[in-house]
Amino acid sequence: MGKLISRNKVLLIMLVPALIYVIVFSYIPMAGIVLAFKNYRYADGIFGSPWVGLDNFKFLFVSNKVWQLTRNTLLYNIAFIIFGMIFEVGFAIILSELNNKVFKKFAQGFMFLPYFISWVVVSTIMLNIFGDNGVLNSILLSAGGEKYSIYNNTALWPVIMVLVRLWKQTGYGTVIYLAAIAGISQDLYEAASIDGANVWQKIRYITLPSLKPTVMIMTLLALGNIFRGDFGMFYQLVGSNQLLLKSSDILDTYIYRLLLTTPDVGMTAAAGLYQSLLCFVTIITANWIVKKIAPDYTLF
Amino acid sequence: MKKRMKKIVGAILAATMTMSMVACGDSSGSANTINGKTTAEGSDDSAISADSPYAGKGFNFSTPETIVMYVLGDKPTDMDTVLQKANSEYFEPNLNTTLDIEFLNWSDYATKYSLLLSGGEQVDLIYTASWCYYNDEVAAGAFKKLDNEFIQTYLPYTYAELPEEAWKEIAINGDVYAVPKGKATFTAYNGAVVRQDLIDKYSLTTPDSWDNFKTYLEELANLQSETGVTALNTNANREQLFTLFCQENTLQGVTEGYDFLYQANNSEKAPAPEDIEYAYMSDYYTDYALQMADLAGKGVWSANAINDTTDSQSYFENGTSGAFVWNSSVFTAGDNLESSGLGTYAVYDVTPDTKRSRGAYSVDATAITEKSADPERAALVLDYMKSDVDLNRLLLGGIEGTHYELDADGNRVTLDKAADYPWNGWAWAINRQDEPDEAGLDERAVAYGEHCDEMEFVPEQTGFTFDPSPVQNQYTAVQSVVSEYQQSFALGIYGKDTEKSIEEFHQALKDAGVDAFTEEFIKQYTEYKEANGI
Repeated sequence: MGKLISRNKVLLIMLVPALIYVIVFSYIPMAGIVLAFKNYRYADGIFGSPWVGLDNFKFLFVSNKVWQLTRNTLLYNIAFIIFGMIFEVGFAIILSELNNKVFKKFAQGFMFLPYFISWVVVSTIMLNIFGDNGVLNSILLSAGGEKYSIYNNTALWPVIMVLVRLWKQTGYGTVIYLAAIAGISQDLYEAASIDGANVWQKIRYITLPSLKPTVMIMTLLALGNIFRGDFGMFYQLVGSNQLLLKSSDILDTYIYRLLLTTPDVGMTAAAGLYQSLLCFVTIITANWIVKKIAPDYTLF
Repeated sequence: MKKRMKKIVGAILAATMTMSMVACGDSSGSANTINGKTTAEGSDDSAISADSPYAGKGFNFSTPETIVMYVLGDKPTDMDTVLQKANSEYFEPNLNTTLDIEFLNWSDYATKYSLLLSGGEQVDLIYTASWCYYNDEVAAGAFKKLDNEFIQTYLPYTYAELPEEAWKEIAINGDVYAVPKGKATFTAYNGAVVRQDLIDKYSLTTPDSWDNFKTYLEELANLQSETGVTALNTNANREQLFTLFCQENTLQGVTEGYDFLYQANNSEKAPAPEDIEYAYMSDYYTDYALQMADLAGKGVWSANAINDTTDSQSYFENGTSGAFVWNSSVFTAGDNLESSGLGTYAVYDVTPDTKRSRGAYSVDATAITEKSADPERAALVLDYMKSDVDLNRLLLGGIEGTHYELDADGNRVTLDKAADYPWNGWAWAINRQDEPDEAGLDERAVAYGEHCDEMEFVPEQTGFTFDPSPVQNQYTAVQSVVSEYQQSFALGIYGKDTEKSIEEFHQALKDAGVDAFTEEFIKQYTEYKEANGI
């Protein structure tokens, strides 16, 4: 043991900052979970406040909404993960197969750009294109058509959400997969070319199998947050349009609305704990399943 | 070489680490010193000027202190200059104290407010209000309870000046946790500013009643393609017409902030408990929602107003809205429209026969925090700000002669530099009854103010406050249902499905526990009514 430490001294020292970071910002605050079971009073502090059992959780269940919200959050995130993966891997492969360097960089830059736009701005852009007085309607009207507003069409919204999300996030994910593709040994491709494999065969038998570990890890990491919605996105795009909220209300936006009017520390902690527990169960289960099927690709 | 490099990198990493840990450990502590330095044994006035209004009253001013006060709003450009003057001429010589004022911006006060009170920063005084977490923070024990003895001792001048109803309005179950402002205004009464130039040009209906106002909006909506002006360009952040609708039906809130209404019929008599209704469950609300759906259908506002977040006041100011409904700040909106040369305005009292109550004193208040290291000194600072006329005006309006001046009638005249320190930009909770009016006020504004004064009424139950803690879960859930539907009804997005949606809304409210919430409210009100014999 002592020998092991002295031999890896430098590596261990390099690990220390990350370790401290996780301890300070993740493990120590974990003690704050007790707040979910307390009626927090400033004067008594976190540990001195009186216990209230599960009272803080009641508000989540009092209106029977929590199931619908959990379902919405879950389904949206599943759609984001699956479509996100398909598009990211797909675009990464397309980009890696492109030979024109200029066009490649250009395309990659354009795909990456939306990632840097804040959701606030995205919502304004959306409103100005698809809104009542937006570009789309101007075109429709001048072409002699009828006005059409996506904001009044509830059924469309799950699709719109997924599309907007893909538009914004694909560029970022693509970079990760591009890096993974760059890491695949060129020898494999050369050997395949000599054997007479075409592009599709190379993708099917070399690129995709080589990407499998990255896909697995990325998906597992995403699963860990499957019960946490993208608050910025939902809050900005849907706002307080109740028609859309029916299909687009997620745990995060609901809790935000719930606690904006009554800032109760205990209830906030309870809501956070509820989400964390669901995420914890999901990731443990997912990891367990992966361990059964492909033990090399587990997170832990 | 490589090995040495590794060693160096390791050493740097280790050093960075240690430093960040040291930095972490240092941030606590400084705010929490021994409690109650001002109350310490024996009075000591040696550190303050002999003509300080607080000299010879038995306080101990021996240690210099810094009191930190948090207020809402955006920091004025000249704040530092004004504060420096206040400190060097008032607080330091007379209280041996330095005042530090910090601002919570409008954009993020909601998220910062609670964190500030629960965190480690020094906060001695903080702005609060019935709409700004007063009840919630009191329930969480964030504010110091100010008993009668404390008020009389440490807020002596304020105690002498503030009317009794102000204390009554801020009290929760008889206990005071904040010091209310000194001047109540008609903040809860709304009027409409409209485009006079368009009324003249197209001979539109004069909006001098609720029905005429709606007609005006509809006429303007029909002209939209010609004028380019949306009749009521509004959004999901402001519910512009509900207060007006309540005024039209003389619906009065039982108390600030909980949406329980009764029909007052211009009478000051306290309502019978059975006449009180939760606003969103009432037939009035259904009627209101239907009227709004009707207006929306007629194109009075954009069909996408619900997804719009641009401020509606600025829509009126930039000439794209035909009306703006709000409290007396509608005059500001009108002035801004005229000064940019986009049109002329007129303000109408849409419900001229309805009596109106002043906003409660508790609409703006200052609390002393429970975590303040020296609440007594903080109280004295607050008392001084509220009671000394010169100091008060300095904080409200800046330096006389630079930011404002007083004319022969004692009205204030705005000077060129006023933009750097606008009158009453943040100090609403410390203003005084004798605050000077603006000189040369537009006569439209003066007439409006006079009419408000004439029609004032004070409902008997003023002073009743509700404590939601026994039904906290139901209250929170009900609030969330309301916030989900409220704007959608206000902007009439359901069209012909409004009635069906109202039923759905009522069901959701019931599921959230609106009955238990209402029952508790009525119970507390009945107890208050009986205890006070009204």
